[in-house]
Amino acid sequence: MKLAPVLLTLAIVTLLGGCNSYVHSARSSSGGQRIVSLAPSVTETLFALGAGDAVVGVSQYCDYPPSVRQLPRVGSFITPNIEAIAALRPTLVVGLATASDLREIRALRAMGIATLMVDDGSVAAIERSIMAIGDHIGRAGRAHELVRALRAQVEAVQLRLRDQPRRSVLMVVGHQPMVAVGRGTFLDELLTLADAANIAAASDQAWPRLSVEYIIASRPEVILDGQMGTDPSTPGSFWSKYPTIPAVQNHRVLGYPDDPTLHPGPRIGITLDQLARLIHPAAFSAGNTPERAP
Amino acid sequence: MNRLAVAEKVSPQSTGRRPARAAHLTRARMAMTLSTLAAALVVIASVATAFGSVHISLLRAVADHASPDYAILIGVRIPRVLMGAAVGAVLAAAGVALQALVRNPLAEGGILGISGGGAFGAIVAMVLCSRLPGVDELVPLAAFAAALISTGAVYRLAQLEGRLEPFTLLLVGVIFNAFWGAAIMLVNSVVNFYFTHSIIFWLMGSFEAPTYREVAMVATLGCAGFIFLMWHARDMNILSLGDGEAIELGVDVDGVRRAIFIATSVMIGAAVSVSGIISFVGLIVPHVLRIAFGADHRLLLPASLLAGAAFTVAADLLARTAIAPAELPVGAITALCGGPFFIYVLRREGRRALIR
Repeated sequence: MKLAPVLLTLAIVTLLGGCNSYVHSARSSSGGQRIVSLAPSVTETLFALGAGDAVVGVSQYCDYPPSVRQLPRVGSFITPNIEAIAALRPTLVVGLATASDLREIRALRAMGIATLMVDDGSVAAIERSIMAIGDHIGRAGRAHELVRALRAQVEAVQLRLRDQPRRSVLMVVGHQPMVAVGRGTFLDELLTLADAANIAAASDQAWPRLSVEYIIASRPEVILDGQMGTDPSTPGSFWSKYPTIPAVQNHRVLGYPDDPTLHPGPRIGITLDQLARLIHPAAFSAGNTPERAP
Repeated sequence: MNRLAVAEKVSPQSTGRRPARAAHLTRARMAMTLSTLAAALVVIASVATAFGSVHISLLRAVADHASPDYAILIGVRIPRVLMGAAVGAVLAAAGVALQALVRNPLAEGGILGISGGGAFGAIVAMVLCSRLPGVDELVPLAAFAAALISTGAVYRLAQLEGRLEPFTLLLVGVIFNAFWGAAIMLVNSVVNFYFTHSIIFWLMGSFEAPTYREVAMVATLGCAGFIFLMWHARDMNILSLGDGEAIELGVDVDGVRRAIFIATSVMIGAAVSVSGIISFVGLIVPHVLRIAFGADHRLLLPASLLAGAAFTVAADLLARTAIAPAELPVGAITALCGGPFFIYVLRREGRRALIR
């Protein structure tokens, strides 16, 4: 199987973690800070704040910016590896309040390591976590700028969409099972900001397994399908079985890239822009350049 | 010849407390039992076709072929009910045969490592080929192939001195089952977070969005396997007397075991490849029917086929409607409903009825 090399690599990376950390501390320019991130959104935020060179360890899911792939991995935000983290001698560990196993976080605190728990579940929470991380590492000014830039991106998209009709949209991450973006997720918020009515919001769940019957009955105008990726040549063979869905009739079943779409963090402004372009292409056509409101 | 006589000798002993019911497996009793179960299946399937996660008008569906009602009824609901029936029937009938094969009441496709192998194949195919255009069609093929490979390995390893020993088969099967479970968890912990849903899908089972082609595939392989099993129904009766007696009575014990194992593997592999692991159906349905109708495989096999279909269709109806528009995994429903009911029947009827 392909598993063996993956596991071996993980093991080696973990083993080498201790050695790597000395290299990083030597070229660290962030006032001797050594930060371990336990989630992709946290890693992205640290790099966006200009503290990338202080990051000495990341979670196994972190893949942006690409340079983090070379950093030591310390497990996931659900199961952080305390030994690997301690070996990196961090001055700060940043994780997710919603996901981190508090037992592991308590153990880190008991070792005298500072920890910061943030939340990346909504647009407001992402803004708050940017501010909190900025405050904590002495880059509050940069954090303010980042949040302002994020809000400007949201405003720019909304300006484009001023005269657009609200479209009913279904956004799924896979077919088997049919897991959709549901109520209370940051992506549901982004869909709403992109002038879309999310048909999956009828369920109480954040990531509901939606029934195909319900999808046919609610007649979405656009379907955003993560399983299709961004390859335009991918035939929507799965959906062609259900030709009464308006999105299928009008060839509005569209793929989207996992990255950055499914990643909460400072790039959600870009994600919003991409979603808005998929849902309302007319608003972004060449002839349609809105003037900024005075 | 004397096989029939033996089969009839087996039945009265088997049901213990209720000799009257199992006195003779007459044509009349068989016809009565099977037609009652068939009627129950038709009623449950009709209810499952009429109700779902959204309300549809059957009249409008029939009248207007461009309506969403038609699309839901023909494109989603009917193939789903058919798939539930086919998979349930296959799992229950194969469960009966496997229990006779290893002479152990715990045997079913899951415990012998067949469904675990299938689920592992599906998950690996899904993870490695998630971006290929034909992945929806590729995954069932990989699952079926992996189920058969796993079965082949169990079959090879369970042979001692050229004979397929029931006890060894069960042990090797249990170990394979645990091994596949661990392998799936290992994949789950190294792949992208978003695959978790799909992995649980295969572990808990579902009949989401099946195609008629998949239904036809399961039904064809299931029917072929079932006819084959029916052909060996008397041999299964004799096997329950013990190997020594069976050999004395002229049964090729080893040949029959091999044949049954291969037939059930194909049946269960086909079911798993389209629906994931649906637990308990192959365990509960045969046992409940054995308590109710006796242990004669000539009745038990077709009765399990019908009752397994009815039970699974009913469980899927619950899975589709309980938290609509979202869905529950049907495997969780079969286990949650089936488990307590099974214990209830077991406690009421006494343990004696279970063991032939």
